[in-house]
Amino acid sequence: MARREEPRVGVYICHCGINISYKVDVEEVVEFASKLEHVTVARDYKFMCSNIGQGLIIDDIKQYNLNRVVVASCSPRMHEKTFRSACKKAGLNPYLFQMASIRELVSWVTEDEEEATEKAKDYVEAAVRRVVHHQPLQPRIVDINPNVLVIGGGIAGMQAALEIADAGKTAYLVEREPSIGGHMAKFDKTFPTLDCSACILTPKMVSVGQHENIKLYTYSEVEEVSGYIGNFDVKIKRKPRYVLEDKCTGCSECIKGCPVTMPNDFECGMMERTAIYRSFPQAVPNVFVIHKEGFSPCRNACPAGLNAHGYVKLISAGKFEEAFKLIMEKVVFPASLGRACPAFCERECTRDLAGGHIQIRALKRFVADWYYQNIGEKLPVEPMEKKEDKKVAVVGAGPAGLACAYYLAVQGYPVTVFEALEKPGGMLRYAIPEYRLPNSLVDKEIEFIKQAGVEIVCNVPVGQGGKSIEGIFKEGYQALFLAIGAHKDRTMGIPGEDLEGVHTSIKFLKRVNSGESVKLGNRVFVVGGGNSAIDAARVALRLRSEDVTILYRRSRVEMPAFPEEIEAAEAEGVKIQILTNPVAFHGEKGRLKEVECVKMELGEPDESGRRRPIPIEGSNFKMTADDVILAIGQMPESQVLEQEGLEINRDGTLWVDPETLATNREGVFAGGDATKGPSTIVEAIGLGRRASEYIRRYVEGEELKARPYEEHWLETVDKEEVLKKRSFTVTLPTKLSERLPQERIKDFGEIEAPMSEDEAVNEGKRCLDCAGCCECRQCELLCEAQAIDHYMKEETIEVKVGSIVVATGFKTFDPTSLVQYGYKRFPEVYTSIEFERLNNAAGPTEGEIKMKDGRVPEKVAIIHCVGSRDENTNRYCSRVCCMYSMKFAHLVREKTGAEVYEFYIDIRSPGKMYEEFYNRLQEEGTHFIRGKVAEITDVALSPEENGRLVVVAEDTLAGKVRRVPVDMVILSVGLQAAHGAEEIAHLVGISQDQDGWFIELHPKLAPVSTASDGVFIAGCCQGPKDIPDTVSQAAGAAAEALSLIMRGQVEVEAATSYIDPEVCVGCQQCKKICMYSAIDYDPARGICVVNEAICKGCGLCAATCPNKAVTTKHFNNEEIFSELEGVLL
Amino acid sequence: MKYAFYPGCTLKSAAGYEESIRATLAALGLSIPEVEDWNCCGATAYFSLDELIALVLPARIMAIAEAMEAEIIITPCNACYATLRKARYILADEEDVKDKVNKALAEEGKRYGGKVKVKHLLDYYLDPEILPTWKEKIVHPLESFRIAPYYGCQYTRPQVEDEDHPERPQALDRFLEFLGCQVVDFSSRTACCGAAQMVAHEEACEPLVKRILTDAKQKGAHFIAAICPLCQFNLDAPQERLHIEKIPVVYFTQLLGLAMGIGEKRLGLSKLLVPFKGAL
Repeated sequence: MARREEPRVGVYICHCGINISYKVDVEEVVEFASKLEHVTVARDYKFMCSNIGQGLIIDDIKQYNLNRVVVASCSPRMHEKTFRSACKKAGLNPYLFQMASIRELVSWVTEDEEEATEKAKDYVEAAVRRVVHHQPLQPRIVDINPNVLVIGGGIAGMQAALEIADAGKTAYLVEREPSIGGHMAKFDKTFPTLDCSACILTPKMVSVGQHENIKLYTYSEVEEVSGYIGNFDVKIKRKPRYVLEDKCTGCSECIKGCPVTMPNDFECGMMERTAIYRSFPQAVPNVFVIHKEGFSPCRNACPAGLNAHGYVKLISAGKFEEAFKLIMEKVVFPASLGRACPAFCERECTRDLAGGHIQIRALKRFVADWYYQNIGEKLPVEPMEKKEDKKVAVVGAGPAGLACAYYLAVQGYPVTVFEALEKPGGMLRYAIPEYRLPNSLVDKEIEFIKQAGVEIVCNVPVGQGGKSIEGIFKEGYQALFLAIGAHKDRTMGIPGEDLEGVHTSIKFLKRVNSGESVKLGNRVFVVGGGNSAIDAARVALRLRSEDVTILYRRSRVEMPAFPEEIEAAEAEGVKIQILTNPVAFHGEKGRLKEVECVKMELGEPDESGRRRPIPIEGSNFKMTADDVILAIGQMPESQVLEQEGLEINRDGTLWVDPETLATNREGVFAGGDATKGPSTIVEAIGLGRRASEYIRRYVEGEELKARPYEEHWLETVDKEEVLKKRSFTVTLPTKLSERLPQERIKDFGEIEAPMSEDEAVNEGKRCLDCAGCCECRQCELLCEAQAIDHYMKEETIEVKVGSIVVATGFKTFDPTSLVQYGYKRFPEVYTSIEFERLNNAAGPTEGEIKMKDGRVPEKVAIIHCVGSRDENTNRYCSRVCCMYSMKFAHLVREKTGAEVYEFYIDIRSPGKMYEEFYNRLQEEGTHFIRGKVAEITDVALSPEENGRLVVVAEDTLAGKVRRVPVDMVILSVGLQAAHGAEEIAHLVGISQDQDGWFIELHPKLAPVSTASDGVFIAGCCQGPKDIPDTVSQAAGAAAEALSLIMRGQVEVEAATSYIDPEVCVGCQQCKKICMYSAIDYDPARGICVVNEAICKGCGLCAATCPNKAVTTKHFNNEEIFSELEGVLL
Repeated sequence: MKYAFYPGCTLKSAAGYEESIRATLAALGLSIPEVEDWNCCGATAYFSLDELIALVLPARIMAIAEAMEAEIIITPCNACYATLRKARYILADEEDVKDKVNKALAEEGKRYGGKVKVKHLLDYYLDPEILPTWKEKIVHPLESFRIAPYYGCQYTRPQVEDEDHPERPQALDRFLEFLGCQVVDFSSRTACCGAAQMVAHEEACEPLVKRILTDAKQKGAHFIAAICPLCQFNLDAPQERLHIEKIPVVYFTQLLGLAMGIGEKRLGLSKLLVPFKGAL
């Protein structure tokens, strides 16, 4: 790089009193420096940082026309600013200065004097070689935004926000919990004055809530911080509260309706609360919140989207009518589903991992039966006003067709259902045998659907010979839903299928279900492994066939029938012969005599993922048979519809758009088995309801795909997490009594007995409330202020601030890992924060100190330093534990008169009136035992120890091991960096020490500033401290922020990065690595560009650039290499 | 995985431990070759006298196992288990000590390489590959058995590799749960039984044993399950003179045998001093 003028360097060596000169021969260094190239003048002085020292530099610059300055003294961190401003005073650009550290790096750390002198010379030479390459740089001046962001709404954050707001500036206070108050809100009394924590805290909380200059965002988290001192852009994520802050009055009526119970976090899990809750009565804002973590696994498992969690909980609360109503929002035929649904929900139930799944299906049966018995045929909803001009036709009165019809009808659309068969109900009536689902019940449920205004016309086929689609539209219907089911049995295409005695399953079941008298022989084979094969086999048994065998060509695990169905069939006596497939039926005089089968083996998996069956050559064998029922699948009778111009899939099902269920014909929709192939009732009903929504959009002229089908949908919660968070005992499901197999095959009566009311309520109570809120919406009914919005979504807001105060507090140490203390194993071992609640008038025992069995403790041990001053956990002292432990001792004695034993390492009571408090406790008769506790055990060695907890510790004052039997133990747990501190540190660009506490700029002189300009820290996030220190720090941080605001403007670092547009190839690696998002990609030029306003000059980009296009100003290659040469050559 | 079985000196005199190990392994169709010409491991005592010589003993055992191409040594004794692991740990860490040890072993033409690992018999049974073989052979789940799982103090100490939790190990609890037993919350699970001090300093050991036994009784256990011959002996033998309510101390392999339907005789249950019968 060309230099306009010859460098003229002045070198100044500081003695630092004797700090440098006692090791370094300063004069020798001056002598050496004066001979270096470009050095015009070299001097030494006792204190270069003094006024006189600086004066030397200023005078020389003027006298010798110096254009570069080197000072060899302490360190840049100490005095770079001092010397830069001296240069500036003399009219020299401050960046034309370089500092060499010969105190920290030389005199303080080098023993040999000669070596020290040589090393100092090297550093001086390095600085001189470097400084000649320095370029003048201009620091930029920016305006300060007067708003302040305060992160954390504990006592520190509240104090800081109040100070700032009182000064007339705006503070944005962000708290992740639903209320401000932090840990202090949980405490009962405060040491050493023993004044009530709530009494001194709540007035402050109210002030924060009401202050016009404080914008309070609770249940919110800072998501992103960008920008720099004076100009931060902050994104705040507002978690959905599901309660409108501006409407909720805090009346707490809502909790009366909530059937959910969850552990109460605020009470450390020692109490339960409802899903809609408020942390504590004095919460600010005084607004409820709904604990909703997603959808429960059962709910998202249901193909029809039925809210199983919701109705299970309503049943547990005895709200049967409400439960029925909730069910009918998503499905019709609840009583039928309650009997014949395969219950996908139960397979996903988290309770399955803790005793056995909730009997969800049986609960649905219970509540549907209860409704029909006690309420009768009254619809749970009022159908809307009829929209006569928007008629819809449905073809097929099975579960899909009737579901679609029902949901359209209740919304006021007139619906006519055309059914080809004699009676409505489809497969419910004709295919599901009576012992699983009585037809009388199907009739009842269809009557119920008719109540909604659905008209059903039977014996009207559509297609060939019946009505045409065109004809239906001509009758004035606006849309058409085809739900013709899959009634056509597949056949095998092998010889002898036409023999008398060879049946197909659906035809067979239809005949039996229609009441026809069907006779079978004694030896019956059923071919197939699906549910209808099982149905056919079990029906055959009930028709008095004695020897019924299912032939299945693959192995048992591949059978598509539901396992419980297979088990029930086997219990009744059905035999299953696997890896066997018929190849021919042989008869005599047109009547079946024998089945010829071939043995199969399994090959590679086919497209269904199941292993392909392969016939074993020469393994043919014959079995005599009276009847054979083929149950190898069904397909829709779709050829008639093909002639109506509808597109048919290869497997014979109708083609539809999977989302909207629209067919290729305008206004024609289809669903159920007709589009899906044979499936389940609940899937058919799900598709029927889906169709109703898209048909509604169609007839209303809405864009079909403008919105998702179910707009309110949440992710499934993680079962493992649920089990971790809930406290529960393993319980077995309510056993459903069943008729014995040998009894039940004698007739077609139902197998399973219904649940009693008590059984149903208790079964519902086993629910673990996986999602938190079950969305039964009972709270909505109770909320007069209409403040509840279950569909609320997460929101992100953006604010601009000039400075940030971080006050994110701490968390208490979890002593579970210290198994020798028995926490969570022995019920009477508490942590200090649990004890605070136990002692609090608003806590689980209303302030009475008593044991879980209700007794008042006679002896209480308090164990100090649990998770503090311990190599295995945290090495540091948590500072507050000694004092709060003594507070506990006082309160225990005061309230119960119990003997209290404090086991301590050292008592640390530095603070105003703290030592006096310690003396008071000693006088009160608290036993202080100096020694770390080895274990807390329930092993009794004497009658006195029987049934108590024994604290074993070495008494280091008495010099012996003590065993102290007590009733209750309090673990004085230490403080740790808050959960999430790492994310906050990363967001605002501050560092954490080895223990996770935020690092202040200077441990003594800048305790609330950080290395990140404009970011301040206060309270326990910086390290453990008590309330007075926390409040002082908060006020200090607020003062720092205000002082910054008052300056109005601030200088920002000029040493930023620069990307040479000629060299950059636009690979964007620099952009990816930049922590400050200071690099943008310019697509027009195909290169990266540095935003100097944001760049911090960290240099990561320069080190990353593979093309060496990036230079960090003041740290360019020339400067750094020259400096290295100075040291090395 | 290639295993070698190191029985240790106490197994022969243990009340039914060897019998039940043989019976269960045979029923499972498993066989583990014994370390040939094995010697005493030296236990804890030798280490307190002369560490170098104390190391030669376990190193010799491991050297033989290595020569047999075994990858893992299985031992049924806590003291052997602790000693072998300790030796393995020291010899892996200190090359010069290993050289000295190998010099001694060279007299016999043996050499310790450091490859072979050590596993307690309990962990062998709980190995993901072995576990299914016996889980499916449980024909009589021991549902009415309430058992205090006693691990002893050396099973988890010293902590040199990925041993179970030193204070609250869980392996035996899991094993017993697989057998269908009710496992009591046994606080004295890792309390010391006194080990060999029982011979020299009986009076010092008795309170230790008493503590373990009374804790088990107080927790309502019918039996104590043991995993080490010396622990079992120390808990079983002195009960007569301790004037306490007696509780049988059985080996975990004996319980496994019972659950698998192996006869009491073949499991050596009659050898227990506090009789097994009548505890339920």
